[in-house]
Amino acid sequence: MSEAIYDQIEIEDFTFDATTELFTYPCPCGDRFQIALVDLEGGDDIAVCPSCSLMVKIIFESEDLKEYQDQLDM
Amino acid sequence: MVGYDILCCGSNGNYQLGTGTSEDSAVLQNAVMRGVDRLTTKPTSIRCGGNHTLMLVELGDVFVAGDNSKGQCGLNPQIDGQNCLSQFTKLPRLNGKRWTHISAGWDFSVLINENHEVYACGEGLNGELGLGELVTSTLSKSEEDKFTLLRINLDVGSGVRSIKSSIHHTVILLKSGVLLGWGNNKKGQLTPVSLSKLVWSPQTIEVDGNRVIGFNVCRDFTCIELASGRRRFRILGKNAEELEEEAHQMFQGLTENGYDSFTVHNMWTSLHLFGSNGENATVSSMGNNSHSQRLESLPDQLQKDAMVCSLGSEHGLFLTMSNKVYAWGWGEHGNCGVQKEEGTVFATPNEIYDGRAGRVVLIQGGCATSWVVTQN
Ligand SMILES: [Zn+2]
Repeated sequence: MSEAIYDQIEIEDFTFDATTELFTYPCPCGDRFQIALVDLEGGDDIAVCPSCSLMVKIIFESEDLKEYQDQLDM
Repeated sequence: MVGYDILCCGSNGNYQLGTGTSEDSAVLQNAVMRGVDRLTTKPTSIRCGGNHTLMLVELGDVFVAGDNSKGQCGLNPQIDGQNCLSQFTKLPRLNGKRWTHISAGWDFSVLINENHEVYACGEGLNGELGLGELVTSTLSKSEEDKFTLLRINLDVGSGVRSIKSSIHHTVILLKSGVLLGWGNNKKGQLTPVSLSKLVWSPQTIEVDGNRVIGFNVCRDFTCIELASGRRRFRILGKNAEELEEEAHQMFQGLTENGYDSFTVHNMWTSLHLFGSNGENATVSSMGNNSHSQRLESLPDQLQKDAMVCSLGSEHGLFLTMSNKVYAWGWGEHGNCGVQKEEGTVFATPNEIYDGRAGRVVLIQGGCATSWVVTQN
């Protein structure tokens, strides 16, 4: 059963890796919540942790994605 | 001769429990001290990062365990076997100086020695190391270097009263009463965001001349307890105004009900007052309650018996006068003991230590880990 969303995190708080194209943020279990840039572009806003059931909702506007998309082209 | 056992349970994917394995455990296990048959110096402080653990013992030695890939345990990970420390390993003293204070954040640690020198180690992309503009790692380029500790340019005067780190920022209270901090400031945890989103070097935190009694560092805000002034608590960070009002209400509620003495504690996303009226204990909480982090009320037994409180990332621990330890909150990794029902949440405190194997001298909540130190 999916439990309540653990928290809401703004996109600026995530670490973006231009190589893997993943946004990550610390999870209280020790692993990191993650979501791909392509998922955000597709309108998904839930980052999940590979090691536990916790999830966070990402707060962002679609125009926020531009600065990350620009990093890819470099 | 007296000895100490380090008992622990919870999240252990990077050997942060120091038990020699990387299996999570819902039952207390014995941490292993490498090269030490029996620990005879009393542990005084345990600090947990995202995946690493520091333990300070009387006489000033520090033991480290868990993930050291970023050098967050202070040792050079390029040296064989030091990328990840599966057992607690002694961190040698620098120039023979005793360590006096430790603190740990997500991938970094801060240590202070008897000479009042402050050191950082590990990685911090948001100024967590306090080593200056854009310094994000203390990893050495040389395989020859034994340590990853680098000295922070900070004069602490006559000494440090306390140091605490959230996952991304650190605050120090000096004996002189000055409050300093560095690291992530994206929510205004340290200073107005308009000044800078990241604070790369220690900076004074303004409290308008009020005397600071203590402080807590949550993930997105800092809570400062003041001796005087309009309100008992000053909050810096996300939703500071609302949180400050809520903290004020919580404080008033406690004192109006006769709980005159209290200690302040925090998880990553919540703040808790653990109060006593001389006879009964109570807990009052604010913040995130997605996984029963906030206790609605204490069970009768704990009202009479709870003595010490320590909180982890999203769970909490009580030590009782009858020498038992209870855990509540989010316990998916075994950090709140064995789950008897479905789910990952412990809405009522669950006994994780029955008091039989020795007198408890220290409890500590970590990043989905729980620690119980016993004396035998
Ligand atoms: Zn997780």
